[in-house]
Amino acid sequence: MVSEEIIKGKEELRGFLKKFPPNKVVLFIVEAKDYQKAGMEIVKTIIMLNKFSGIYITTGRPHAVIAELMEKAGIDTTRVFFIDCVTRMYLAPKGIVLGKPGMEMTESCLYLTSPSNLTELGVALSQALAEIKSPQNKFIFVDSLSMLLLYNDESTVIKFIHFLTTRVKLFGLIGIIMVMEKIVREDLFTALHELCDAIVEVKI
Amino acid sequence: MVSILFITNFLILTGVIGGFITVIILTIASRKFLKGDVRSFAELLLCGCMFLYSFLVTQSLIDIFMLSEGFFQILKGIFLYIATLYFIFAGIRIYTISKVLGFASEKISKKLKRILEI
Repeated sequence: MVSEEIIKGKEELRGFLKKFPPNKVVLFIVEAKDYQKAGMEIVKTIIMLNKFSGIYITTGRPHAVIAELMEKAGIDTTRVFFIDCVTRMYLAPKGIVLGKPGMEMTESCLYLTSPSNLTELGVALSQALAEIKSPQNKFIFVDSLSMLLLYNDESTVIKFIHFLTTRVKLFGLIGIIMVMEKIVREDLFTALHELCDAIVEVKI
Repeated sequence: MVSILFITNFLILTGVIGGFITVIILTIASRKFLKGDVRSFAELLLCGCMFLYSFLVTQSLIDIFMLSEGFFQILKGIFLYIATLYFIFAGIRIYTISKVLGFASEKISKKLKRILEI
């Protein structure tokens, strides 16, 4: 059964995350003005208090920006591996022959070429999860569903979220998906209701 | 002699039908992927298979109808050459994908290995 909650304040948010069990997926709905703060607070709680490590998928802001915000918030970024779907979209082509830079894996980040490269994202996650050990203290964080909806149609995003939630539950991790309030339409919300284990509205 | 001819023609026909089915399957599969590197790989493979299939059909026509040398041999050669090019590009594409998404590789990020405890 899907639980729906409204959380007000950082303490309540921390309390919720501390007792959130593995094998579950939570959807956080956040107002635009609190989005960045809420995101950092969720990641900070998961990593610093719960002592989790995991994968942060960013579809809206470059990995460099997120890493900087995390460091300012006192979050240990050595426990997070990033999948950046946005940086490569805006890099200039290397020339007529070489074209735009493609996917790349660096020490702390996997760069995909666009938030619409969900196939590649799925392949990367499948590969990573198949090798994972002790999944009970691992997380996958999707930031954000709103941005995915800008670059993909709704049915594609639902299929991807279904793929992600299935993998999270199968491998026993925690899945966290963030979405901005008022971006989610009724039919998408109904589908998310079915896929997620908890839907939490956050007001910080 | 007759039975060998029958077997040869049967095998050729089976190959032609099999090639056609492969092209259909690859066409459907490549359309199901979202735009990106994996789709691009599937499309290159499809093009290679289409030209290989064309080579196969041309060769079959030469064998079955005992067509003259010259035009059909050149055509056969062109199809095979283009098919090879597409297969080379497909190979390069899957190789570049594996360099990034191949988590079995030893060159995978050490940080990711540590986080996932691989």
